[in-house]
Amino acid sequence: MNTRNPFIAMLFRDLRIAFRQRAEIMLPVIFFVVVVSLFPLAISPDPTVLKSIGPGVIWIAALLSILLSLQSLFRSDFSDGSMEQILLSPFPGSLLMLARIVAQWCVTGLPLIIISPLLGLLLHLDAHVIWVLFISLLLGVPYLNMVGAIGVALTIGLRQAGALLSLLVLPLYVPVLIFGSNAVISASNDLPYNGQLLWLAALLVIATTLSPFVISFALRVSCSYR
Amino acid sequence: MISSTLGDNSKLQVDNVSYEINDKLIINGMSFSVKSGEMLFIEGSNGSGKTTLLRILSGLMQADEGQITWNGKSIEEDRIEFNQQLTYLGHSTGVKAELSTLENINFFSSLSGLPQRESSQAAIEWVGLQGYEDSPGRHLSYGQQRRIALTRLLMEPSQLWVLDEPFAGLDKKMIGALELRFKEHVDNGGLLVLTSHQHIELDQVNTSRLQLG
Amino acid sequence: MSVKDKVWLWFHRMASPAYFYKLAGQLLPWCIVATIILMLVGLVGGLVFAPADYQQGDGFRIIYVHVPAAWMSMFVYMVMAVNSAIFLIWHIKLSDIVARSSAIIGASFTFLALVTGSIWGKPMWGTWWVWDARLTSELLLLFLYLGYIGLRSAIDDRRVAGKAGSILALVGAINIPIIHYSVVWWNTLHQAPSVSKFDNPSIEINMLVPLLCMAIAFKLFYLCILLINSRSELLEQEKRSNWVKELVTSS
Repeated sequence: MNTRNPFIAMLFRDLRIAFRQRAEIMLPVIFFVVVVSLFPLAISPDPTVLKSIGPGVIWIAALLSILLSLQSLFRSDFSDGSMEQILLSPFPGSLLMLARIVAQWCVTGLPLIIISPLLGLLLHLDAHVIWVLFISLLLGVPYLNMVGAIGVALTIGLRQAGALLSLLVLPLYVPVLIFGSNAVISASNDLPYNGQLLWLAALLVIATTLSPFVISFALRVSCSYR
Repeated sequence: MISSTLGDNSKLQVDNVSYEINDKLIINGMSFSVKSGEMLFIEGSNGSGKTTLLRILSGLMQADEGQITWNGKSIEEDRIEFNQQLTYLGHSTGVKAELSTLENINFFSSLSGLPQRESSQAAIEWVGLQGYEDSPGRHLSYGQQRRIALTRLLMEPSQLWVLDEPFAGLDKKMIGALELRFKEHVDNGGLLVLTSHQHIELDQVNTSRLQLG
Repeated sequence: MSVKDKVWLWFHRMASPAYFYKLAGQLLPWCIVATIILMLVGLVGGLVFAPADYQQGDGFRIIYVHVPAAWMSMFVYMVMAVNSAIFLIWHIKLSDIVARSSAIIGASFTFLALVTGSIWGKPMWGTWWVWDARLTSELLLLFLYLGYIGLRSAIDDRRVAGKAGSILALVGAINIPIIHYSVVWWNTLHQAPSVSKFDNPSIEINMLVPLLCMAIAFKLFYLCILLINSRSELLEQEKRSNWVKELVTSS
């Protein structure tokens, strides 16, 4: 497809690249499932225990799986020189970066959200709780992608970038982790959970407006050094 | 095809630019300018700062001191205008291993932001990659990947070319075609800044040389 | 000259490295002396003259270190973020130096607040660690500091390290209130309501005065370290400039 719209061109380029590396895009989802299925083995298969830890377990697994998938974001662009071309294009970097994150979310975040109800079943969550889990991930995971991308943009090309990325990004994930898993826990205790979901939505709006600018600026800084 | 003249009154001005790497002043208070219809040939040994200078000229790096202006405006201030007129080719080709030749070329042209001068197919023929349109980048040699990057010189109607070692990894025939294209670009009022280990001499082209290091 | 011009003039002079270097050198001895005096007054007042708490006995005296350290941990991050913004917007190198030297001091204060909080927790709660909202926030703040320090030290080029660090500090500064709010909110859900030892309802004047002395002493201590660090960093950064050459040849 040949389009003059840079946002669409960027989005389709990334999706196309991702789908040509099928094994790689499946990895975060598989990681997600494996991590969640380890918890009953490590703690207890007792349904009441699983019900109480389930929301937290799924949220932490989702968070780690996104963190894992972030490692390769921008990496090949940085090494093959296409990042230079992106930065030197006459379009706003923030727009192009937003396209990149949307693509990244489609191939890593979305599959994880889609598969989450299944994991809810494995951990004996009730149907309405699984629904809240689904919504909370739908609102929270894009935030993880966006804020994570800031960390990637800052650490790209550094030695030990992976470990450093976790240190930079995980503390910033705390609010989403708290509100996300708490919404699910509240739902399973028949308490209101709208407040938590609204918080997630608010955080998502903030991240969507600010992070593309920060990412594009950070990449410009990281690219100026080689 | 867009009209081939690029205008004849553009100017890239470098004022007192300095840059230091690891406590070593690689570029020290350098000033020069390039105008429409001129070629600047930057020479120097390895590590003399050629690539650094080109990256500063393109705006990828910021000089420690001094400033660079394009038609009187700082390139930092008017990035969109400047980037539209700039074609930068660095050491890395920017070719994606997962995308085919044609997809790579089309993406370059989407990023350039201006209508293509020539069709993608004409560009592929110019660099001699017929038959490789659908081969993914990872199946191509380094020289072929460089040729994909070079298609931008045929397709983008930009005025200022900043090229880092454009002849690296190319055969004689392609070098000849490239030299012709350089001449055409400069004759049409384009500006050309390049580094090369090879000695190049373009007939009747207003060439200035800059020795680094 | 209008007030605005005067402010700008002052700003520019402060930002001039040579002027700042000289000023910092003159200020430093006074700062050190004031720090020592205030710290002595605060410690003697807090550890000797302040009455023992009727519930906690002498154990509460750790607040003379814990509370000022906790205040400093936030304050230093704010200074760091403001200086990062100044550096990114106006490219004033001095601000970058301040931000950079602040990080290590801020992390140390945060660590101190965590350790003293934990020591205090032992007699109070009978355990070394409680997932109290404030301690948890301090822990996350420590992670933010460590991330900043880690990022800066991983980047070789000083210019890039300065910019990347500044971006991170600002992202952190936007997030701190959100993190803090979410942790407090989380804490109210999980913690059975208990008497918060941090909000002593009526604090006596002879307990308060040493506390304030310590708080100011800590701030001055921070200032001393900032001045020392800035002076040596400035010499390093400006090694090619004339004023440094003159300084070296004259001494």
